[in-house]
Amino acid sequence: MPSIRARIWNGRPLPCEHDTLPIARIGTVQPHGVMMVVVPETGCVEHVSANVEEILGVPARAVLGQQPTMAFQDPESVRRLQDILRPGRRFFENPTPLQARGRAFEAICHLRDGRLFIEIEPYVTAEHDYQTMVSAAVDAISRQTTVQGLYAAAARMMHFVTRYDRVKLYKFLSHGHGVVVAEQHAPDSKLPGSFLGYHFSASDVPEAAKEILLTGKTRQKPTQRGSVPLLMRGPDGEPTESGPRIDMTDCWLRGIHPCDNGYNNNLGVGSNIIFPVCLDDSLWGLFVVHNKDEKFLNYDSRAVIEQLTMMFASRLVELEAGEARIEERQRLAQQMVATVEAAQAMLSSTPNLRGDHGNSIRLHAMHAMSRHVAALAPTYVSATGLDRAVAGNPEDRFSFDLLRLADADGAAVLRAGPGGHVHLIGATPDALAVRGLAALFGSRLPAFEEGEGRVFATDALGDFAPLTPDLIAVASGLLAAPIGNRGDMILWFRKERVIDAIWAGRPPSVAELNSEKMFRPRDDFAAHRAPLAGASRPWLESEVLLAAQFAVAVSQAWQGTRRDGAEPMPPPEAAPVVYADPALEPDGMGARSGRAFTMLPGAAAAGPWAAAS
Amino acid sequence: MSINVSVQANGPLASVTLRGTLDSMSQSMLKQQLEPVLANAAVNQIRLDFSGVQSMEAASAGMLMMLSHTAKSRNKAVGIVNANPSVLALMHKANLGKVLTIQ
Repeated sequence: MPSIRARIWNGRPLPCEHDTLPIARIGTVQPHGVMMVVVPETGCVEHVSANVEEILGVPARAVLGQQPTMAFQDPESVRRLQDILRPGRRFFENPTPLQARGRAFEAICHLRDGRLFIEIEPYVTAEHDYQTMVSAAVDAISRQTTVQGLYAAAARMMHFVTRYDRVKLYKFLSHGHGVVVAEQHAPDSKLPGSFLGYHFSASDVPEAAKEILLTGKTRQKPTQRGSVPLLMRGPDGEPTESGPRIDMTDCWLRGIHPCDNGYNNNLGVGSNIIFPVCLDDSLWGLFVVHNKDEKFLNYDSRAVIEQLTMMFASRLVELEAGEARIEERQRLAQQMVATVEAAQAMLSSTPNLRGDHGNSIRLHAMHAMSRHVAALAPTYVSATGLDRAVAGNPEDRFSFDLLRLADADGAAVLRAGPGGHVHLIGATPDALAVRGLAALFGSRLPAFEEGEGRVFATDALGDFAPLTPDLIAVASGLLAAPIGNRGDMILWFRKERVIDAIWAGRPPSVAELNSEKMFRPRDDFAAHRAPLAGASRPWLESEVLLAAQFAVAVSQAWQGTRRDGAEPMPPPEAAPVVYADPALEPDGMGARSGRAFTMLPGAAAAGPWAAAS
Repeated sequence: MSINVSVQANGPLASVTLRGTLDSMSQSMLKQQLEPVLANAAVNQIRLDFSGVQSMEAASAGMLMMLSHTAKSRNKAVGIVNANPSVLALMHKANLGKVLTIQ
């Protein structure tokens, strides 16, 4: 089942010429290590990197078609490689220490597409052992109590493990752009320039690269010296370039595109590592670690950093939920659902009240209930003036709570059917526009899927539908959850947030994005001020999940399925209309005006939040 | 999106059976359910039965790492059993075997 993250659609980056670069099938390998691609059934090398002779002293021609052991004389290394080649192995305890030509190496193995990848890297010692690094990381991450503190602590830990000149924590925003939210410099950093707070254009990370980063794969580039080709046996038996045949998504040694090398050279970076932070099905951000000089980290250090990013992600979700007061909002949602349930139960139990002016106590109670749940109860109007319908007033507690529940600027409750209406709260598009937006589900917006998490959220609605500037201003953020299957829906809105952004270099224009320029490394990183618009504050996963759960609970309350023994409610379009007395106090269960109340069946509501169709 | 957790403590061994999806949203529920186990001085081994876990995300792997570390500081060992092949693959990719026992 897809995670709730799959229901959140951030704004899409503009298409860019280099989006489809064959990064995973680049056909080259970084020069500091040897890659062997082995057919597991035979244990023989099918592809090997061209630098095998330079590093292991055996020509590629001799390795191809043979077992990898032929490149090693050290008996213990041969035994370990034979264990790796044991038929049926699916997992490997990486790294495996090897010796060749008097040098220490580490083999890192994985399976992909029916091939065994053996990556042989030179071994370097780390400043700390694995246990020390991981203990320090756990301690630093778990002690944090704020999101900003977590950012800073994680950047510090990245530096503790890597000892690189500069660590940047980069968070993706809507439209694929990003901002540096934390930075850590070595005390003697050779890269003193700071990018803290700087925005980077989406085009800096091609979509194909994002796909690989989404797998959680860390990228280490110890040197910017280019790459060597991966070779296979050609038709004449001689080594020939493998080209795009091999998918190197999970490989540490995957070659670097010249454009990427050029980008780092222009930044003055000689070595870098990129660690993706993945939250469920999405790429939250990146740790980008820079060193002025060439530098290489051993496997255990990289493993610690990968684990650090996972712990970071776990703690981030907790702290974000804490800062967004999700638990408080969950309690609020429960109270609201209980109110709706109580009102619905009361309405269900008093079918004979119609025209019964004597039963004023029960009617008063009903009225008070309906006053609170106007938006989420059957159609509700004011008895003495449709323009004074209390449910739409900002001081109405239930309406206010509905906004608080999603931390939204506005909300709309859309009731379908003959008695349908649109109830608007706070800053929203008008009722007609709300109906128009609701109609987009299944066409421009995805249809709500069945099962858990029937919800849709975006912080950039304008990316999915042509919206007027007015609509973008008020409804860039949309969180929508259906209530049942009849077309009823709650929509929450967030206003557009225009950021006065400082960019690391001028972001490319649309014309530039679709030009050959995108295949040349960027060389402008000077501060450039330009607004970042077209998106709202993003929705948190916990907020989206809460909205989905709330809508399900309301739907169940409407159907009378949440309370044991409760009678199912009549279909919404046939539900009664409660005429309420606006003179009652907002909490007016006990308040009495002495006026008569009348229930009328099936009448459509009118007034500012009434039927728009 | 949701996880069901049942805990059975039998002397020094606590067996925790999980069913559902372990992702960034459900990890907090697992963490909550495990707090009494971590606080139980009589328990020195926590066995997480993953046979009912359909999928697991990276943030949850991070949570398990922190859990293992906390458990170790309280003289408890954490082990995972019966994970399905895709979950097992993620655990190996995350090097979880370096911090807890995977069977």
